[in-house]
Amino acid sequence: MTAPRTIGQFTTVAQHEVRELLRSPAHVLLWIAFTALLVFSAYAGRERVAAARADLALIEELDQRTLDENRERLVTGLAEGATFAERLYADPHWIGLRHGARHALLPELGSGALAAEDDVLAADAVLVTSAALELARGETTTTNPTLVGAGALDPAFVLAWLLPLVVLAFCYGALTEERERGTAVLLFATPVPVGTLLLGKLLPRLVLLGTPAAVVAGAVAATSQDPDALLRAASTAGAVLVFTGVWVAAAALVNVGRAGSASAALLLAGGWLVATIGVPAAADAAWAAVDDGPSAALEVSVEREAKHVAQSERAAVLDDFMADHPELSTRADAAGVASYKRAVWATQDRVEELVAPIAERRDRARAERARFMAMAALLSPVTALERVLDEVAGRGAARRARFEDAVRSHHERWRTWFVERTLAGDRMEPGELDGVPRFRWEDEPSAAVARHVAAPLAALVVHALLLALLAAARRSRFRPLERAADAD
Amino acid sequence: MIGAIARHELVRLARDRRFRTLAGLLLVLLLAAMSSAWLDATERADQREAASHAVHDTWLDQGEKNPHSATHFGTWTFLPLSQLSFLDPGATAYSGVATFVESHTRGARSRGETVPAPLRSPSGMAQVLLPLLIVLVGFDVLAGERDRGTLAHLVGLGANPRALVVGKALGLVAAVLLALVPAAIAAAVLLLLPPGADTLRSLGFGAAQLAHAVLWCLVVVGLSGLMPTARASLVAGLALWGVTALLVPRLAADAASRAVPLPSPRALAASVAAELSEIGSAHDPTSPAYAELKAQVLAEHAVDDVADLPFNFAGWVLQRGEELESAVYAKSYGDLDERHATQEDVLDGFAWISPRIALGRTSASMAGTDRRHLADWDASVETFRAHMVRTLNDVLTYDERASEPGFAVGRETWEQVGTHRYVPRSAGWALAGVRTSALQIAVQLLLALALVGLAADRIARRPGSRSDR
Amino acid sequence: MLEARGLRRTYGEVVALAGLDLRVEPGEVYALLGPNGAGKTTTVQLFLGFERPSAGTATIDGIDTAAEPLRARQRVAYVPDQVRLYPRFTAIENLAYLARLATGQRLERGAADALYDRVGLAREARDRRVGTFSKGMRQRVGIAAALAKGAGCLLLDEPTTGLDPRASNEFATLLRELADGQGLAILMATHDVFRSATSGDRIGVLVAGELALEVNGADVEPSELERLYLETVYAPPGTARP
Repeated sequence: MTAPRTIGQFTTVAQHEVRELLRSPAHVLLWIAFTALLVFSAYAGRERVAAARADLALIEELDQRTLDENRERLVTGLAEGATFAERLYADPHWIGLRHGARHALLPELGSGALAAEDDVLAADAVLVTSAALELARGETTTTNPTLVGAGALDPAFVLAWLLPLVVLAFCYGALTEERERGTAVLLFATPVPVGTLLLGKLLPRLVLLGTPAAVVAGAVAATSQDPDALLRAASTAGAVLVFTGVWVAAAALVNVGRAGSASAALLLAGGWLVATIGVPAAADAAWAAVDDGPSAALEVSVEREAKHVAQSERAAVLDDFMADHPELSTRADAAGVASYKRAVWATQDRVEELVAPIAERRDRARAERARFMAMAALLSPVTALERVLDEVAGRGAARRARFEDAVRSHHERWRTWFVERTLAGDRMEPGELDGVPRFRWEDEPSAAVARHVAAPLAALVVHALLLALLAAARRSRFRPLERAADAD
Repeated sequence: MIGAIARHELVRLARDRRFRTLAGLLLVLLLAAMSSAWLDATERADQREAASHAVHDTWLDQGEKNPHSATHFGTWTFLPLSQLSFLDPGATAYSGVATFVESHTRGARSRGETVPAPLRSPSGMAQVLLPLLIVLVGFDVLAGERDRGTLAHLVGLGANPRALVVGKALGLVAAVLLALVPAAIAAAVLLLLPPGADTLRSLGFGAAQLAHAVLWCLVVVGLSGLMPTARASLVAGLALWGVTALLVPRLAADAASRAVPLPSPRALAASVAAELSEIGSAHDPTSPAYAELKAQVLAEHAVDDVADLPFNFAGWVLQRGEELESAVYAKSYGDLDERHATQEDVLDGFAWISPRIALGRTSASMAGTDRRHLADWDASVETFRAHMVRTLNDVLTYDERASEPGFAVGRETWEQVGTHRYVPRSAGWALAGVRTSALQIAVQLLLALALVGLAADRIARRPGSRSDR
Repeated sequence: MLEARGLRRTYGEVVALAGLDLRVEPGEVYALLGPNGAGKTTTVQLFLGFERPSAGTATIDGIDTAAEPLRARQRVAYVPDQVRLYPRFTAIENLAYLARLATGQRLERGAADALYDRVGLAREARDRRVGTFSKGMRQRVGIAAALAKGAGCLLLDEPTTGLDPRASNEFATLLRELADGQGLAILMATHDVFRSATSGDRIGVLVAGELALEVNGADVEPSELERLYLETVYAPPGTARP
């Protein structure tokens, strides 16, 4: 069989298929509905990103307002005849611990429109003070848990969950339907190899469904103005296209078998079920069996106990009272206040020391879970795609961990700066506020983003290739006649 | 005759490899999800119980200190979870497990537990996967016979189409339910055997799941009778499932959040902070609201100096401040809660076309894990917080030694505060919250019956397949 | 040229075809008669390469259909007993598609019309979608598609079932023309004893997978053939067949 001839046959079949699909109102409607839904989900994602950014901007604005207020307060506090309370506002200790606290912000990526954050308790803004860092605290949230439970209508859902169903609806009958309709015998009486026939039927479908999906998803990332927007766009579009290919290949595999079209649809729906829910559910169950992370309740009680221990170890219980109500103190002399500050730091250090083992255990369990889930995600094309989209959208575990590390080291710098400043004297000049450490965040370099998406992308390619090879290996088993024993 | 048809259908399905495989797959998934959720929940319940005791012990053993200092030392109260919650973690997945109780501040939440996505909880699987199973095994009960021509044959022989359709539906229901018997037994054992089982809630939960399963069986049989071919029946069933079980719930959530926008956490916090700063701080005697209070109370008792009041002014003003602050919290969070409830009304509107929403609402309510239960618990935490702060501020106000420097009280006072006790709401209260959903399921059942009736009519008129032409 | 040598096909215990030897020369119409289940369709399927023989070979112009099905199929055209088409396409489009796949060449409108003229598909029907076509009309499209291929061999599986007598008669004429005029080797599986006698050069009777009788068409009258057929098919086991 010569190449031009194969290409000619392929083109003939492909043209015929496209015309057939275009003449089928059900397919056209489904295609339009799906594309519209995808575009809508991208639009809704953009809105979500805008809302999240507005919220972060509000925090920045409030922080800035606090800073301005502090400048004024420093002026008042340093003035002659300032009251006790006014003088407290000029005290670096209190600025670092309370009045001057600023947030560390994790910016929302424009590509965040691709996948909504499903962990509503994960903080994207952490208030950094010279007190102990409480990353374990849940984020205050106003979202309605009932709605969160329903899930977001984000492109990740439309692509990872619905796209396969649409692909299967388009492809399950590619050959099986011809056999049932009786046209397969005419087709197979022509000298066209079954592989060419199958490719001619399925490739146009792959293009028809995969292209708009990849273009919309890629466009969201490409127009995001994120760092490495093009890399993000390319990974997204590539992943979506390969993902579509996985399901087309699965349909090819089922089509070359003996199953009728209804059974083919059934088999494919079963495959969807396993890939979409079975594998993640199995991963959940497997993790639950080996998980040794502390429960949130345990963490709460350990933290509580630590505070209690640290405080009871402290000589003067009164100091604790002072921490909250120094203005009620009758011992407002300089020496007393200085020793009180030291006691606050000492208590903090002691609490952190006591909490460290369980915090480490939690962080280790979380990191292990992230690693385990990353591996498990490779087993199913659906979770692999979700992984790619999460990484591109800036919702990956690595970015979150990196943010938490950055917050920790910023907190360390903050505390050191304020402790040193407090020891140097209990009055601060307004100009000194500019020297207070600022949280700096830079998103990961391209290489890191590429590394995070590489494994799930490779997994998608492997899934697609395996299925396609399997289908190719079994293609000669196709029989143009129904199995029913009506042959005489 | 109906019995014979139902039995025939049941046996046919039981012998069908496809049915056995799919039902087995679902059963394995369900049992795995149930057992891992149960083990997890039990372990967490134990840890919660222990943590709750430990936290209370810490409260009692906090040592001697100023009572107001104790209101800042505060304590934690842990979200009580019903035995059913392992089947449907509902909103608890997003709520944190414990609330910190302290003065001046509405409780901050702890982090939440890492739990599987809602869909992978046992109830989530029953909501989404059970209908899929029913579609996959039931699409051809009538349409398959139509394709093979046996349907026309049966009707030609004089079989009553209505009996045929009802018998098929009963057979499908029986097969699906029988396949799920192990899961039901497991759930019953885990729910009803332990002491303190909430039988009514368990029954309500089971009834909702049962009604949902029957609903889908009827719909699938109806479609199977109405569609011209088995393939069309399968495609229609899958499309109906994809739209009502996957798409509409998310569309509804999206629509609800558009229809009733919520303030962002920071916007809410900022508006609360603004209102609070208007009141000023009870710790800052110079703030206007408190200057006014002071003037009032001095006038009331006809004295010139707070020292001449029959009680300790510092304690009194703290308590008044607390009440003003609590009113701000109650209003802001009350508004938020109302908005949440309105969003759920929008969601309920969509439940008319999506039984999954109605079932999800009912199931979470029966499990005591929906937003309404959490809000009820929050309210009870606020009541306890008010009680704790008032008890301790009262000591500061009325104890004669309270104005002395270094005033401190001990365990006796901490015991007086006690612990937060939440009395779980009754099954009736839970049901009242999801009346609409229960009604919707009932109406949908009736509509499904009507669909089955239509199918019977169609079979009576045209039992043959299109390809007979 | 179509040739079967020791062609055998079994499905488990069931023997569909028990070692068939058959040869259809160019210019010859071979009618394969037999009751239901005798192995006629299996024979056609084996020649098409849709089935693989359990033993023996089926060749088309010397090409083994099991070993090189695609090459063999270039040289054979086929009309099934029930021609099914793409309902959303017109008769012209269906024919163009099948012809293009069969030959790799674009089928011009004029050529398509000529083919439809030959098989007698009404002009006004040609641009209609075939979803509404009767069985006879679909059969004509199928025959036209087979002709479009221009192959040297033709396989027909009950080609005239469902055709009215006039159409059936026209088809018989067409067959003779193809064999005599264009030198096609035609193998036709059929139940129709009368048609076999009038248009078959040779007639074989298959019984339970075996060729039980073979006669020349010129040697028998239709009524004679019918008698022979009935005797062959319903001969008591163990008795000698004529």
